[in-house]
Amino acid sequence: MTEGFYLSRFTPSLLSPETLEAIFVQREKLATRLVELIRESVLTGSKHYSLLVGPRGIGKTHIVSLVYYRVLSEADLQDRMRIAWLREEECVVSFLDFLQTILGVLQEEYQDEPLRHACEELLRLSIEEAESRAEELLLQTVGNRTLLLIAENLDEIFQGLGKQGQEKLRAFIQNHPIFTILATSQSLFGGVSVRTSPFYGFFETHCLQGLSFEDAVAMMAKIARHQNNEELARLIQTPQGRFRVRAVHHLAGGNPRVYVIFSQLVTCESLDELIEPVLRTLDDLTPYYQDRMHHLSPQQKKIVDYFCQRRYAVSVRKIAEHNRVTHQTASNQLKKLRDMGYVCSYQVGRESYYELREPLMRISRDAKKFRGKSIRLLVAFLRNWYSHAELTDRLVLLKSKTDLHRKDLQRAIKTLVQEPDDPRLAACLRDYKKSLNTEDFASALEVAEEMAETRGYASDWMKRAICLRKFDREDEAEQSEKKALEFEPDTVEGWQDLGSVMEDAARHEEALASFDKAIELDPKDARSWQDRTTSLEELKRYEEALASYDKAIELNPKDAWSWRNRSTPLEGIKRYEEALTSYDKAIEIDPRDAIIWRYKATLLNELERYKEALFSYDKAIELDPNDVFTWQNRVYTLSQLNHYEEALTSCDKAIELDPKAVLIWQQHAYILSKLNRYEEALVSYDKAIKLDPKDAMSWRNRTDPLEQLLRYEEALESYDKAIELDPRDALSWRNRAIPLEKLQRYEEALVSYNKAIELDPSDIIAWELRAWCLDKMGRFEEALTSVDKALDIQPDYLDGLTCRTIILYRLGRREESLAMLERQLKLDVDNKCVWSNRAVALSSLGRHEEALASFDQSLKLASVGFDFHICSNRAVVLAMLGRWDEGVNVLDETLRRFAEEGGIDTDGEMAIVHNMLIRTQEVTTWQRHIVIWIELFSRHGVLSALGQGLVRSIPTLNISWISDDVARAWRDVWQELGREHSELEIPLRLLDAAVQYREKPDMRILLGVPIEERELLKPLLGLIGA
Amino acid sequence: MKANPGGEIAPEQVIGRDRLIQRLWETLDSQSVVLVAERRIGKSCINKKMVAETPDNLLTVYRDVEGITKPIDFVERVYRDVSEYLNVLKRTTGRVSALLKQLSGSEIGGLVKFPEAAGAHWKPLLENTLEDLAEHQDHLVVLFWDELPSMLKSIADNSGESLAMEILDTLRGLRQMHGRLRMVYSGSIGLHHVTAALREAGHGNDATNDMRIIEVPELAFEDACFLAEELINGEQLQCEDRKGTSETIARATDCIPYYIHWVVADLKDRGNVADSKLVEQIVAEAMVDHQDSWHLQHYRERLKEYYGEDHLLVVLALLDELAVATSPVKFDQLNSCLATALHPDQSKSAEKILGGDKELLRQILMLLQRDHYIRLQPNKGTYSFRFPLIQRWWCVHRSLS
Repeated sequence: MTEGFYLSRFTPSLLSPETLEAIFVQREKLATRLVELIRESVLTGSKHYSLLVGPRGIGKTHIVSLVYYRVLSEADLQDRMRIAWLREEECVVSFLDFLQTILGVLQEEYQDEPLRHACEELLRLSIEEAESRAEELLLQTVGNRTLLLIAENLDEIFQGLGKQGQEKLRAFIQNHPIFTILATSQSLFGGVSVRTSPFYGFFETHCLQGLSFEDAVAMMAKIARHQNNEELARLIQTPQGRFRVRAVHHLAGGNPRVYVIFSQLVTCESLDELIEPVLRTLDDLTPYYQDRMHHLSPQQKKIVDYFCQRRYAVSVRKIAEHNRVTHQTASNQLKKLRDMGYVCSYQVGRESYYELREPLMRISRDAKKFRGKSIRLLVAFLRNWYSHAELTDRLVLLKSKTDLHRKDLQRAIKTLVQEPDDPRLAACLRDYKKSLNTEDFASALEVAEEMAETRGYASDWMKRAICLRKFDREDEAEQSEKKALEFEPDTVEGWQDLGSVMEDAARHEEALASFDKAIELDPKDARSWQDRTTSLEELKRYEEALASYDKAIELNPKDAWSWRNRSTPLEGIKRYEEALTSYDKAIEIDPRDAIIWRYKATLLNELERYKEALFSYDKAIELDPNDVFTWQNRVYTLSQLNHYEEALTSCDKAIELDPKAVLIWQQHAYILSKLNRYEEALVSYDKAIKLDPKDAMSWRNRTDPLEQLLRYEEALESYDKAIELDPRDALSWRNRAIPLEKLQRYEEALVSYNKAIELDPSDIIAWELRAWCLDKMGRFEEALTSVDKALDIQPDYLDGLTCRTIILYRLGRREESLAMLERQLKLDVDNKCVWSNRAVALSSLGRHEEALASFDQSLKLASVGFDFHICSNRAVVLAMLGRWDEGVNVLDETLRRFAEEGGIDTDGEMAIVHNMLIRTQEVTTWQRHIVIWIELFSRHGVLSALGQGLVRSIPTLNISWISDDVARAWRDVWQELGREHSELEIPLRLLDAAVQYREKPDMRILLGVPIEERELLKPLLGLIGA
Repeated sequence: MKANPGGEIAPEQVIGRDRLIQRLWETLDSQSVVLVAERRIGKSCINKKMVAETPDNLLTVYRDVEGITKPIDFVERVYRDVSEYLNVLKRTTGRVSALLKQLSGSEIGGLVKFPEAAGAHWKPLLENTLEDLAEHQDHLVVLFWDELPSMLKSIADNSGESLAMEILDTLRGLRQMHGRLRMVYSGSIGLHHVTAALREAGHGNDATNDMRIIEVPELAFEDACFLAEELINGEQLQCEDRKGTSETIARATDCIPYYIHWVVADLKDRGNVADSKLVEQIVAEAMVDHQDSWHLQHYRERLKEYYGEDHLLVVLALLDELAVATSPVKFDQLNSCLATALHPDQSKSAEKILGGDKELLRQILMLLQRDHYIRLQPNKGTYSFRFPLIQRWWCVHRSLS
């Protein structure tokens, strides 16, 4: 140790500022901030009140002392402030007492003689007079300055003040804003946390956390350097030293005070060197822990005692039982003990477990309890301090200078060495796994090195090798693997451990080999059989995995885990019913395992047995209402059942449990879209994007509500963003064409389809949609080629067949079109559109009777027995059959309904118009029908719909087999019959321009049409971008 | 300017209250004021700012009266404040000195504490003190008494409701007597709760009906953003989008200054960076913080005290209903919801309301408004939670979806 250096273990306020700074870790930010707040309080009219909260030994006094010295070193503050530091041991019993204490501290600190006399005068006054006078004195003493009041154990001060004293104090502070306060307490006591307390909400609180392992290493290294103890400083940086520090960390539970105490012992090598100091130190700690117990209520003491007798975590239920209190009482007391830093808690499912935060407290209690029986106490300490290997080595060298009987000690330690449970190693393994999960391979390597150096199992060397490979340190990794082989396990656990390490590194074959070795050593160890199933499943060797599970079950028929997971290979080989039976068996053994129900539900989902899946999800929720995956999967099931409102509720619950899960927000949006709540769906997609702007799916799926809201430009931007993030997503490319088509940007849409097909040539939908796009552009032959590609891939693709039918029809290949329709009917006999199209095709071939029958069949399949296109076309066929009046009546009635329903959304299509052009080229027939159409459409006030239909029929003129004469005749008939109707003025003008352009593709013809009408006409003529 | 939740804010650093303060001065020109607001809105800050920046033609005195349990102690504080001012003017509290001499039988000079004999004579002492003040100067006098409701409650608890009522009556009498005397009452307990308790004890006077009730609202959005931005700057946080982050803070905290300070303090604690995402995370964590750093628990805990056992279930049902509503709710709809949420056997209030007593329901809703839980939209007659932040907390803690 450094001469003159005194590392006070219990009174940090006795340490010099240099020492305080030198050994300070973790809280630099907080300390800096506190000084800044004090600075602002002194220099401005704002005043800060800070409260540091934490259990004894956590470092409150250290940080307060540090802040004190730093503030003192700020030269510009000194004249503008006074400091009154009320130490831990100050005792206050009233408001007057409090004031007098402050005055006393100020008098001493600033050597203020007049103040001392004035304080003495207070004793001659009555309490009330003294109180008023003390207030005055304090105000006078502080004057224009700010008083920095440092108050330790504020909870005890407030207890002394009582409620009235606190009220007076608060009023005093409010009336005279001269104070800035830095206080400490062990917990958030009632004086600041109960809402009726005067100081409720008054302080900015900072809860001090215990030191992490890395902080502990840093602190002990700093202590070593400050003591000029090079040996210690060096040792701490080695794996062995870190392992030793880990022991302290385990014992100390993050308590800095304990680290300071044990820092002296780290360098002790032999048992002999260690024993006496350990015993002495444990003795020294006893009053400290006893003092901590004094602050507890009897019931709390009893609970802590209970923990001291146990070395493991205990559930609340057991604690309540043992202490004969209700669950609620136990839970409340445990929460208080946790907040005060005596215990720590863990959540496992729905149960809470607690254990002592500082195992050293237990050891110390043992010291008191088993006075004279130092061996047990010592051994308890040693098991944490040394690794097994180290202990065995040192045991041999023990000379025993102590008064302990050497043989007894040897015996005890030997027993210890045989115990496999080492809490430090448990901590190492936890840290290793955590580091791996967060891909912090540097930390994982450090831990692996610790374990390799100290325990040295094959699995430890293998972990080290795996970590080294992450940094491309191949040579060292190889050396480490060689070591692993050298230390080849000779126990079942060793091989299991090694196997797990291999499995974590995705080296499945090697993992399997390790597990098989374990089985060789002990074929009756069920765990090995279980472990190897993971490797086999990864290797897709499902039959073998199944056999392995069966073996595990044979060894333990009540093994719910194996029954549950056995379903995985069964699903792999598509033996679904057996998989379900396996789940049922697991449920029978452990009906309260929510996960089994969830897994079962997932399988039922895949089998499209949605109602059963829902039942299972509901069971899982009943058992564990906080499992977000269950709620999430349930959303899918409900969607499949079209129960969208319920699905939304399920989604909301999932969001409540995990508001940051992008997938759930995407689901939420999807459900809202299904409910036609598109604006809200957009909000949800935007939330998903905010959480993860790089998730292409959010951008892509967001286009659906945008398209529904007809916001095509934005939808396009969204697709582009999705493609930017994932340029090889064929689906995005394909769907991008949809808004492009809506914007009539057909060439660009085509480019999009082409790209989608390039990425996925087997996408039949892309081929089909491309065909439609070409159809709109009047490029029918190319359209046919495109849809044929789709049908080559999947000959029974219904939408493809429909597409081909229509294109053939447009090309005038009506017989072929009809043949396609017959083929479709074989595959999809209940499709009303197919029957309807068949009827049109038959009619176009003059087979009107058959056409009529086809229309009738189509109508039967229409959901409400009415379909405008079917009925109107049927009416025309009746007329073609010579059943003129009947036909007219049907059309009349159809139009009446059409008008009544506000004009059904036909997208401008009026099939009877373009069908007429294709059906016959006889002018008299056209005339006869068009006359009656105009009359009936006018009668029902929907003549404009007929006009739209006429315009939409213009692309039909592009059909190659329609001659110029026919086109002209068509135009002439319409002009003759329609010119007196204002609703038909524009359609007739467009038709005329179209016919003229058809004959002579001259832009001047189009320029003769008003610009707004020209823009309507161009796409219909296949003039894209012209 | 550093984040300072719960601390003392220098008057020159109080943001966004100038318009309100101007309005208060204008009101005080003709009448006294009861300042009401939810906790942590900043009433004390406003009081202190007004006192620090008093216009030339006014005299202001600020006093926090919490901790006072006897009327004489209150009078003594008032006397000290008055005499301090009069000493500056080289005037004396002549009347009071004479009275005290009468009471104690000896000359009292340089006194800081009234003699014990004065205890029963607090009323004339108070009257004389303020008369001395009125006599010796021409200014309009404004006395700011913070935590007055707490003081009244303490006096009522210790010495009976009559005494507390008498104080209020006396103060009222003094306001009427002295045309240039004004008072500002404020406190964390609503005065209406204290006067309601006094009324229940049989004291039917309304001793504040000459005072204007002015509510301190949360900050205007722009001011809240400005405050947030100033704090971000003051804490030297790294922030790429100051405007956006400030707006997020303002929105997430319902523009309540205390929470704005908390958020920035938390940002500072976490690592010197400020962005909207962190802000939202901080607020979300505050909703479930078992230490309740934002002191939101009191919104639930105080209900029993404020509304009594009988009304409590009705109040909980109403707040539950409003918490989950996605849009403001009409009175009739609230009434209907109670039919499913309550049972007549649960309490007398429940029985009355379910039996059709709409007036009782209206009364409870009025009290909830006064206690800042809910607000009534004037044009639409619909109710909603006053602060979305509290609504959110309520949903979390009541496990409502």
